[in-house]
Amino acid sequence: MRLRTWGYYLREAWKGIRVNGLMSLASASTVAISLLVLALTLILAVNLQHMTDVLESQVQIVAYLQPDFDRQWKDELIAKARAIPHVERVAFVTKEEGLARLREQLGSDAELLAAADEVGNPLPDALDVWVDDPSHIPGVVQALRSIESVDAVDYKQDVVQRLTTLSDGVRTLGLALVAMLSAATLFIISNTIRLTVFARRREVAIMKLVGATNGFIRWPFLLEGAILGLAGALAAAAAAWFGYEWFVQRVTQGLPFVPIIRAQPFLARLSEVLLLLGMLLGAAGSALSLRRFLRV
Amino acid sequence: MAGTITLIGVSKVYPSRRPALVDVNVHIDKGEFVFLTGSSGAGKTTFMRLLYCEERATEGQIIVNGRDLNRIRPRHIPYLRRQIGVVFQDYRLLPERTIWENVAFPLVVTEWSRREIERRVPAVLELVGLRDHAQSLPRELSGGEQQRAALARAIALNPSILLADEPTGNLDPANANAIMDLMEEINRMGTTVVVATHAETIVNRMRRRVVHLHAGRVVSDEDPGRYRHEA
Ligand SMILES: Nc1ncnc2c1ncn2[C@@H]1O[C@H](COP(=O)(O)OP(=O)(O)OP(=O)(O)O)[C@@H](O)[C@H]1O
Ligand SMILES: [Mg+2]
Repeated sequence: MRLRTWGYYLREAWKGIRVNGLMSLASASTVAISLLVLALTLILAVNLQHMTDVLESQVQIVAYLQPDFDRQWKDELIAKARAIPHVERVAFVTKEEGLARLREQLGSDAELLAAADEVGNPLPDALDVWVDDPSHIPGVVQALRSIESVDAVDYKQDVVQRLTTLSDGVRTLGLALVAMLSAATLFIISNTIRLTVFARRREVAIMKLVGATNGFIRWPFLLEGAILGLAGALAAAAAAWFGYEWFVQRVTQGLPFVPIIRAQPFLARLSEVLLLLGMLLGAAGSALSLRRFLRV
Repeated sequence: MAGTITLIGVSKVYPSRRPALVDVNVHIDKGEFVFLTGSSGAGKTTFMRLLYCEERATEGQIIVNGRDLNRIRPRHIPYLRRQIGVVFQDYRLLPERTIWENVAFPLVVTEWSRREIERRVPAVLELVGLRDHAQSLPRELSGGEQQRAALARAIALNPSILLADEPTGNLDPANANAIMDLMEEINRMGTTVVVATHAETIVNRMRRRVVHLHAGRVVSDEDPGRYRHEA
């Protein structure tokens, strides 16, 4: 295809956009809204996933030892625990440390532990165990249980599980929303292009009669759709870009311990995806209307 | 092959109508000049539409430029049409474009280079006598001039066949004769010309082959200049 022909296509496409004015604006806006929702969904989903990963890496197993455990075997026990595959770190927690930790966790409800002061510390000594990947937790738990001085093994997966459910929910809901909005976008773009086709029907008819190929006739309309899609995508990408940068700044300043994805290169990739999708949506919407209105 | 038209047993029935063409057998050779006559509704426009694939024959075989139109692939139709110039009964000029742009239109949409276009358009406008109107809009021209513009557009791609549907319909005799002279000139350059008309004075004056249609049938096919053609 010659460069000059592309120049012609672009000029014709631009003409169509100008002639349609408000409809073009409406089309680009729906693209922008759909893609912005998609961007929000992605931002949320990716961050939830990130949080889950971070928390998963923090999951620990607590192995409570027999009440009569003799601390002279402490090092040997730690070595045994460390030898279990996938165990990353092991820490010995004395029953005194355990009680202190519990007090701290309970805070104002610490008087519940008043009995402990009278009767004596009810907690046994324990091992805190970190695992390289949460999928290995069951295996490690199993192995810990088989160590004879271990009485009971406790592990926490609640938060992770809840986060996983949440991020699944966000993903499903977000994608459903995006699918709906995309359908609406296709609809309005195809209607916009149909207006252009209608405004040019006389010209198109004559083009056909003097021997223009269908490809030649279609390209300006496809480009018109793609440009509308791209314009909407640019707006969505810009909003997502500046919005997220601002958000990251606020979070890192205000809540530094909350793990979120850094702005770059995430935003660069996100923008690429948005622009590509916008163009595809636009061209597809246009193709949809051409299929019906440009019969030979 | 280029410039020849053959219809064998062609019929055309529009949905829920009586047939517009019935068992038409006509052969037109390269370089011929043929009138297609008949009263309103006889089937002249339908005859022409079949030749450039705006309509498909219900029955029979049509061969144009060596191509069997029953078997032509949709994507080849544009290339067939580039070989057939058509002057429509209602001109069909683009009202928002200048005469130059209208005449250049077939060249633009078939991807001629700018240089080729700038050489071809003035030559064609010169031929039809519209050089001074290149920058006018169609509505600024008289009926005869618009007809010339339509003719210029039809021959811009230098087709091997020129189809003209009532090219003198709304013109006074002087203008009508001028248009017909142009047609003859184009024909002299080797283009096959088919003119649909019911203007008898012109047909009689020109003494050319006449295919006469009545209610969709060819009722006579005579060539005063040569031997009688087979119907
Ligand atoms: N698109 C169409 N749909 C249905 N019927 C049609 C169509 N075009 C033409 N006809 C019918 O076919 C018959 C032939 O029409 P056609 O236009 O070929 O006649 P014509 O000889 O060109 O007439 P005129 O001299 O008035 O232009 C007429 O009865 C007409 O009503
Ligand atoms: Mg007619």
